[in-house]
Amino acid sequence: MGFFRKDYTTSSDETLMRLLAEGDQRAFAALYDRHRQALFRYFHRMLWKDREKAEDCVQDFFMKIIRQPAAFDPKRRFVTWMYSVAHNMCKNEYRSNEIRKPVTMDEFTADNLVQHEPGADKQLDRKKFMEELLEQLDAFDENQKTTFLLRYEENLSIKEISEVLSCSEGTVKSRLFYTLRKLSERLKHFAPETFNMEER
Amino acid sequence: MNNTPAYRPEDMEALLKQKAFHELYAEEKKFVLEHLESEAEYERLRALLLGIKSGAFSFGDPGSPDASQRNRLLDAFAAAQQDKRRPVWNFTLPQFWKWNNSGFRYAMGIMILFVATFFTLKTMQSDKSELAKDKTDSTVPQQIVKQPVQDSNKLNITPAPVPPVPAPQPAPQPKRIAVNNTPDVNQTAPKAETVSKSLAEDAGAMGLFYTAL
Repeated sequence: MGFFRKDYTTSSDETLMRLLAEGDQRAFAALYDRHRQALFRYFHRMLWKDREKAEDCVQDFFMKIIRQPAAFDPKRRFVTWMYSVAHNMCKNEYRSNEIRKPVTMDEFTADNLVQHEPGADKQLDRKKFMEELLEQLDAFDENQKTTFLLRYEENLSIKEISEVLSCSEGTVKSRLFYTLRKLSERLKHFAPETFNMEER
Repeated sequence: MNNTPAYRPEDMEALLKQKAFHELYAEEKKFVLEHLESEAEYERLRALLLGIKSGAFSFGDPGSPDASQRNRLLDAFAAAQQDKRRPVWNFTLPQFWKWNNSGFRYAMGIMILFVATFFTLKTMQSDKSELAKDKTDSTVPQQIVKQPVQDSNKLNITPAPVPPVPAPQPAPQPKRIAVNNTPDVNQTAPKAETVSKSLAEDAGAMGLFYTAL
């Protein structure tokens, strides 16, 4: 019997989508397990670090898949489709919450940073830098913030981001450059060695 | 008309990732300084980008959704699948037939298999009996089978010569029975010639019968 068993862990996202559209529950579970964390992280970043809202959005996203699996275009990559749906959901949230909630930094404790730090002497500076970086990032408009996070946190390619946001690759690159330049300007009171680990 | 855009800051990311300012060619330095204020800004941008790309900065891991969410979604998926099937089965089968019950599904499967086997066997059996019937029919004389009427003139077919039916052979002459009995007083004994004649008639009739067969 094992000879005919499907291997869901190695199946592509697109294959899993096809299987779940045929009613395969294990394909759905595999797809959820594969993307829940990245999706939650994305919603959490984009929706003012609101954990409950991020959870609700993850659930809403997968409920959309359950109700309308045919909404996924099999010609597209699942990841780009997933983030484009997530991006639209965030837009809707922005519309319904015109006044943004204050950003909390509770989760960025020293413990989170210590695992990346070889030394603890500059830990405080790094922590301050991270807090300010994220504050500054939240100050950007949603398109710039989304572009930046998809590129540098979710590691999507320029082409994939252009598909997610339905814009040209040149626009994505311009946004990235603009965001980086603004960030470096606003954080220039920090020494470059504070945020560059590779040159050490 | 030159369609190449004069301002292409989007290409900066590749340079920032690959080269320090002092590693840039003269043309590249010129391009960089067109869009950035100074070498210091270039190095600051580069440090930030490399720091982000190398994972030196964690954006902070917010964790993952609550574990109960998975079960809720799986239940919702199962319910949605059930809803998809229900209208068809409702139309054909009553509700109490619980299609979710896996035991019932297995029973239905076995029943279908049984019915299929039964019909297969029955078909094979009927094939055998037809074959046997065909063999029996082949012994029947050909005169019984109706041949399609053909116009012998058109096809120029001469009818096959009918073999002559052999004439009935006369029965062998019976031996004459010698009557040695003493004559009854009350009964007149048949004459020897009369007895031999009747026996000969009987034998002839039998001969004809066998010949006919």
